[in-house]
Amino acid sequence: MPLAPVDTTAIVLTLKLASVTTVLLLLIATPLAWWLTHTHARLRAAVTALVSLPLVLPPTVLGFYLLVLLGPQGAVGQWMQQFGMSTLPFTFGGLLVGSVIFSLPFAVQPIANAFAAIGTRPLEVAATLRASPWDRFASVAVPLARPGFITAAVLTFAHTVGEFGVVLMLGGNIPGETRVLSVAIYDHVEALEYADAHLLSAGLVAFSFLVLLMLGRYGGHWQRTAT
Amino acid sequence: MSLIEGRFRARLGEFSLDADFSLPSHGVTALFGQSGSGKTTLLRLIAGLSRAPGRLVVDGEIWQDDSVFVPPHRRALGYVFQEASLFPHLSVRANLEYGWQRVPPGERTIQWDEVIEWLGLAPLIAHRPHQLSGGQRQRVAIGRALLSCPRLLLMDEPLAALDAGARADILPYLDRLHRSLAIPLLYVSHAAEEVARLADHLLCLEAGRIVWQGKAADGLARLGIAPAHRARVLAHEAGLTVLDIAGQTLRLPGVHAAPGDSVRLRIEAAD
Repeated sequence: MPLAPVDTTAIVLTLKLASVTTVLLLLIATPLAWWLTHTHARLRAAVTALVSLPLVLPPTVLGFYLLVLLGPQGAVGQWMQQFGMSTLPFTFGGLLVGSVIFSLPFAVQPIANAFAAIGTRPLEVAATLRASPWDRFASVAVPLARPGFITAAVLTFAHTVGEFGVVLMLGGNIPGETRVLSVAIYDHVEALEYADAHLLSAGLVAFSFLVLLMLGRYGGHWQRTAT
Repeated sequence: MSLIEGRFRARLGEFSLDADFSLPSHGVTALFGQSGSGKTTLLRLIAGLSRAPGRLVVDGEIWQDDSVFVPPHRRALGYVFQEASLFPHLSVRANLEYGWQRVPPGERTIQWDEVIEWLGLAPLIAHRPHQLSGGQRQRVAIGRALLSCPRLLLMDEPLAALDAGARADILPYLDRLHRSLAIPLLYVSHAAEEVARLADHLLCLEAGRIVWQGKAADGLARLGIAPAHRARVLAHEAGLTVLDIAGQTLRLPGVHAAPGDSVRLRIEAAD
């Protein structure tokens, strides 16, 4: 059975959302993870808890507050309107903001764990070999933390593909703009189109399984061969 | 004239360090003391890896005083840690090149080929760090530190993490460095036999205080350790090496040095 064009659109949109979220989140999570690993600031515990919040909150709560905050009456929404920007809810940009926040712990924790596992010694060695702090970060910390980056990227991507609650609260169901795969499946089930729902759901199961398989194979590969 | 002068006062919990020292501009100075006497702490302060109030002048250049603190990556020093700490994501060659590439070619004071030869690194260069033995790894770490063209080389018990066999393998290389190297070496050790074999000068540290500094031979005698004699290699005959010690000749097996080289011998009072 071939895919309906609306479903293909939903798949493409989902992959686009997951890819952009992953890239953005690696850029945000790396400095955050570095700071969490190396700071002695009192703020550290509070920031750690804040970053982990999306792990325990129902996605609907997260989506609800983002909707309020980003909406025309919300603080961020009003601020954006002052600068002539349109508000984010019910747009792809809004989904992106929601996805980044929703997957934040999935990116920060593996990278922070990898940084912590390196310890201070390799960085001290690099310092005595005349590498500046930025140089040490790029030439020692990042390559040694590679498994953490792979895990973070894969988890973020997969987690974004599977998100539903935040999307529904914040993005609604606009084909080609915010109607992602999980929402499309929900629609099919509501309309009792079980065959279509099966096709997309089975595809998602297979995809998720492959991702976890890859994670096991490549994510941990380097750690085993290193001494 | 002394090249390196320093003074540090540090308080770390129960432990307090109060060290006033000067090192000569050449040769090996051993920083000797029991574990817990503050040897590593002092070495880290000299490297700038730890920070405490004090003053440090190397070769006329202020590395630290009340208003100056030069960060470790701007200090021309080499540091060999107790564990080789090679970068596991880099090959042996890339490990050796790490510091070398960060010194502008015009400022390189050491020859790449010379370091490779002194430490016998040529057969190891294509390997990955995890393929090397402990002794080989430590030789690469020493080479890596030397190739960063330091004006002062610091070694923190580089043999302590090795077994007796690996230690015996690496000592001749250290002897050789001692003969060839033009920069001062500060060598932390709590092993009297290493100190007796390698050191020209001695800094004795006890509970965070320098209790003695001076010529190694004098210091060793004070500690009741047989000092090393300087001997010159005359020739190799029938598997034995003929040595000249102050006019006396002595034949010994297994001395790795060319005729004309000077080596050190320790003769126990009981022998």
